[in-house]
Amino acid sequence: MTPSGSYRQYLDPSVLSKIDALELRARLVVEGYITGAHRSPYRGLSIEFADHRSYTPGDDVRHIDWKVYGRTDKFYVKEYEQQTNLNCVVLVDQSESMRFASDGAAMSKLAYSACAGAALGYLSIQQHDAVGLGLFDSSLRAFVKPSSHPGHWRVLVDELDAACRGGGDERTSIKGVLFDLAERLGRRSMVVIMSDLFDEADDVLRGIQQLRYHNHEVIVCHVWDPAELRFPFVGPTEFRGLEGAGRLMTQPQGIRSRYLEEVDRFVTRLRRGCRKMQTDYVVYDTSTPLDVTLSAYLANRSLRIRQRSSRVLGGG
Amino acid sequence: MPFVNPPMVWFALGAMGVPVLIHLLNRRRYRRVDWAAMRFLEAAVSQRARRLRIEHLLLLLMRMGVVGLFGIAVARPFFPFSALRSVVGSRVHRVLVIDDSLSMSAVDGGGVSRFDLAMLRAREILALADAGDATSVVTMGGRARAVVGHAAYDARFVLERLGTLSVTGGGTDVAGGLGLAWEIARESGFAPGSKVVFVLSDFAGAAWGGDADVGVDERVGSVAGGLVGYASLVLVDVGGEGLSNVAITRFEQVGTSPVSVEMPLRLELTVSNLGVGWVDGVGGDVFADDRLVRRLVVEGIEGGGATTERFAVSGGDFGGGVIHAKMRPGDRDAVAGDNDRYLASPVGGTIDVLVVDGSGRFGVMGKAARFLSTALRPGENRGVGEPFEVTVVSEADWEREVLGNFDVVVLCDVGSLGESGWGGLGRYVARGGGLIVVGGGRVDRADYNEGGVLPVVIEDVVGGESGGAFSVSFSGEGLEYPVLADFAEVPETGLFSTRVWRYFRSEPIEGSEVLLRFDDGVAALVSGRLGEGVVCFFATSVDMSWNNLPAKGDYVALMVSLVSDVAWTARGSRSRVVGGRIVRRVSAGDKLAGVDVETPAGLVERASVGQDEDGFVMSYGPLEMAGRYAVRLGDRRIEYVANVVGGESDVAGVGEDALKEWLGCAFSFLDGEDGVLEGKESESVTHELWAILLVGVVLLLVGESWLAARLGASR
Repeated sequence: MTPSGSYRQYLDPSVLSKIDALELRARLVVEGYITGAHRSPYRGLSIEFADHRSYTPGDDVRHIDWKVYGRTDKFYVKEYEQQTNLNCVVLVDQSESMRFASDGAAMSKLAYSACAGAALGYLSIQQHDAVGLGLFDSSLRAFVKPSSHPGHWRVLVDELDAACRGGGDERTSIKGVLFDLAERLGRRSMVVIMSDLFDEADDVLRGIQQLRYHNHEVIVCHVWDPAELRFPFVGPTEFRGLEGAGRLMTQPQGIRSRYLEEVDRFVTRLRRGCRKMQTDYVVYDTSTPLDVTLSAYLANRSLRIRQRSSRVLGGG
Repeated sequence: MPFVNPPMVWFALGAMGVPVLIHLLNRRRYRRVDWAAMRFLEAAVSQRARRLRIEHLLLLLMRMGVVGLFGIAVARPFFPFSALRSVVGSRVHRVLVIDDSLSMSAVDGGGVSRFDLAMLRAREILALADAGDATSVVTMGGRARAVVGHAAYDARFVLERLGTLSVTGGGTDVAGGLGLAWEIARESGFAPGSKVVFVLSDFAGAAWGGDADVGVDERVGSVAGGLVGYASLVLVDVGGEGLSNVAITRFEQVGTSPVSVEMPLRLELTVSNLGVGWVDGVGGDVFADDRLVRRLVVEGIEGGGATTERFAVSGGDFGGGVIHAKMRPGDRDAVAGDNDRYLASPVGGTIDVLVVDGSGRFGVMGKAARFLSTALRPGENRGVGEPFEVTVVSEADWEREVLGNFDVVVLCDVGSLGESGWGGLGRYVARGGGLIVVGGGRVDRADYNEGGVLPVVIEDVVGGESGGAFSVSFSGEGLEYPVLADFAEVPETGLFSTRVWRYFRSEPIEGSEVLLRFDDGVAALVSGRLGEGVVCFFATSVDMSWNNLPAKGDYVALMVSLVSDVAWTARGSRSRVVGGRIVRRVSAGDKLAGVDVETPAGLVERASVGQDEDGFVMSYGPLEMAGRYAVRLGDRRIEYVANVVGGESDVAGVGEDALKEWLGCAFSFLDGEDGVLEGKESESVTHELWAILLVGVVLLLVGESWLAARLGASR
């Protein structure tokens, strides 16, 4: 699904970074995305027709397909995929490492995640889904219960905005957070994790496993800075680690390949683990246009709904 | 390890710090980056950290090695071992110092002279030269000179120059020869160990410290010490033993100087047998201006002995100014060049006198100048030729004269000369002129004392007027000065009855000699040397103002004797030794016309004429052979003579031990008759390592480039 060109520019992080208000950013992303969606074959934005079946007493006569009756003289009612009220929780990592933005990057990983999270919230509420928010670093710092009320989005945006403006210096510890979240979510939900996942891969997967154990759908958005994926440094460089990781001085050219191997190994490990748990795992860097993020989310949402939703009569 | 350019070693060591410095500066110039993904960085680094450190250290060491090796290569180390000669090669710079002094003409029983043997050895040494070797040639006879002063790579050229050499009549300029070799070796681009100085000499005792028992000769030792700091020194002895040599070792005038052709010229001649055996009687001849004036027969002389002949020749026998003594010692004489001696005599020539008249007025000559010039040329009035050519100039005009044209300058009652006047007179005297200063009422004592030329310090004027009570006379006691000795033999003569009523009391300076005193003990005539010339101070006047000497009969004789004696000294300075130079002042006209010099070989050569603050000076030399030289100045012909150096007649050489003591430095000593030079030289030659080091530099550069590329580091 490709948004139209005129709105596409608002999905570019480098453009969005110039807009200070997160709310406006998110609206731009979604409006831009939906405008493009009208031209796309993407399905799932509205209550969709699924099949016909024979009328049985008790069925609402409003659902009788009169056109079919005119052709066949039999009563058929239209059957729709029920748009269940999806619970979506956007879990945004606000640890110190998420505040990193390399030279030339449009925004930090946290800003990018917040923007994407707000856009998802806005989109979900537009679809009458309930949206919640979790902010975490070493623990779950804030949690907003899912709600589909239109005014709820403002609450989410305020929380995300506060997280972006805050000065957190905690390191990521995701396992406990996901365990905690799994306990808090009473209803089956879709959990969208937006984090750099700079934690032990096993802990990350164990936390996801816990969510899956509680029948929550999980989408892992692994957010990177472009420099973290390309390691473009040249000449003697002192790397000052965030989250108290110390300092390291080296010749980046000499270790670049080794570094990229390490990153690849980590990503591969997570991707395989997620696949085993039927969990979507997507790698983004902060230069990725946000419609890609939304597309991934919506595609996953549509797939999950098809797989898990019961076939009901429209409105029933 | 020794180096050609030792300072470059320190430069190299310092330069090796540059890569370290750059390394440290680069470390200081690192960029700082906040970084989130430290876990991957640390994992990447931990695996390669040790290897990276080693590689970077290796890179740093390679860079240091490149700089250091290059610096050391430029410093050009060398080592004395020949094991790697085929690898590093060894170019040799040989400096041949050839003794072409008189003693090298000594011929052995086989008819081969020492010089011939030296040239044979020189050619053998030249034959040792491989491609890339260089040779220089220096001679040390007379005054040392560089025959091939540069490092000549063309052996044929050097051979050609060797062929032009011959024995001179000069002495051995050991310090000069070694000094030139030192200079050539120092300027040579070859490594010190690849420079060898061969001295080919007979090491005759007179020149090589045979007479010295004082250890290291200061000057020669200093030069030799400096030389061995740059090159190996090999002494090749080409002197034979047991040679017999008879020579004239002394020939000089004695007694009163003759002042005219009528007076006898007393001469003394010493013949020495410098060999080891008895020499039978030898004959000889004495010539005056090539005219035989006397035959001599010298009795037999034992080895190491000498005999002296005294004789006189009168002016009636000859009319020339150069006396030549020639001995005929026979077949056993090893050195022929020392059988002739020459003497420049004032007899027969004209003595040019410049009288500076201080008391003349309005073109009328003052009394003192008139009395003196009359005394020197009494024959003018009688029509008889006299030996003096007298020029009288006033005090105001004397500086216009070219003093070098005069044998004697007489200052007669001149007031003051000033700094420039005394300076010019001082330089004139120092170059061999004669100056007589006589007292008088116009003399400015302070100016004379400040002039710094007089042999006395004038204190004050003693006495009064002629009719006064004060009066002294000249004292005849203790007269030893030859000029005055004749007067002393007849005390009652006029000189000692002279009445002097005024004179300058003066204090003779150190080194001067009081020739005559007043009878009150005060110095009346004082003589002193200044450079090559002589200055006489006469404390009273030469006219009748301060004494009545002009009225005495001895006045003329005294003035003539005094001026003649001073002139003799001046003429005596026209004697040179082979290797010396003829230098004299000439006029501007002489310079324009050119100054020619007739050599003993009959050649006429043009002398160079330079200029100094006092005017023009001609220079000719070094004098290459003994004999008569005549300087042509227009119509005038001024005779000079050059004699061989007396010490060169002693052909006995000194041994290796004596040379070690005298030179005070390390050297190899070879007997020139053996002809085994090649092996000896290879012991002295060392080999340079710079080529190997440069190969190392290249290899290190290749390694560094490869490693830098591997590390992705920019150089």
